[in-house]
Amino acid sequence: MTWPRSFGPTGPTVMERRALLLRDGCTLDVIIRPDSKSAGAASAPEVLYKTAALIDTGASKVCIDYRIAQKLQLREIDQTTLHVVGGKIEAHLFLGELEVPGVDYRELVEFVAPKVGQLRYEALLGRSFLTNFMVTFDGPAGQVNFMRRTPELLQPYDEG
Amino acid sequence: MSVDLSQEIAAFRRKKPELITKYGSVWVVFVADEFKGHFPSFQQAAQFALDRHGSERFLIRHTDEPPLQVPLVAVEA
Repeated sequence: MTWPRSFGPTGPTVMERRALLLRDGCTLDVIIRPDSKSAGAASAPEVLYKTAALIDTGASKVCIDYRIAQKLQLREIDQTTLHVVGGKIEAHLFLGELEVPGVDYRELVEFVAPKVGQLRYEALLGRSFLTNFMVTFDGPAGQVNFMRRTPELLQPYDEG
Repeated sequence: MSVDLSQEIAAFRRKKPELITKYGSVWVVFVADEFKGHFPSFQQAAQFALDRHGSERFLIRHTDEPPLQVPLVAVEA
């Protein structure tokens, strides 16, 4: 498959896709797995969780509902406190594998799992994921375009 | 489900100034109160931790990462 790759809401007209992108944002299908040596992987090697993750530049990392971490028995690797409106909440950080087939991405990543109530989306693709790509939010076309960062494309940035 | 990482986190906090001086902005791995290694990327730190300490409890943390940002506000009409 070639680049760039485009994602966004489906709809019969550009105007409809544009309105849906404005209202709902853009999601990518993701697959989450425990690391190969975690308790979850040991008990069931094929265990995985599929969901739609919202692209979110406001999140610094990849975030998941903590119930996904529980279900997959992800390995906890750090803990922190998040300061939010109205107080503090506990967040646990987990190690796991994130696969985003649409952009050929499969890596070990750090998942943040805040202990909060039901979220509209079970996963957010934050900047720790987006930093691997050049992403264009094409509002008028109702889509989001991804380009892979290749060594040639990185060169001007690395040298600067 | 929560794992007790207090020993690792306390060790990280004690050693943090030294780690920053020696290695700068890196990902580090701690097992109990022992510093195990430093890496330029999270993926490298995670792979090292799994390969060498996969059966143990470990902490992976960045030496100078800013506070986490997680949007958690939703407004219902």
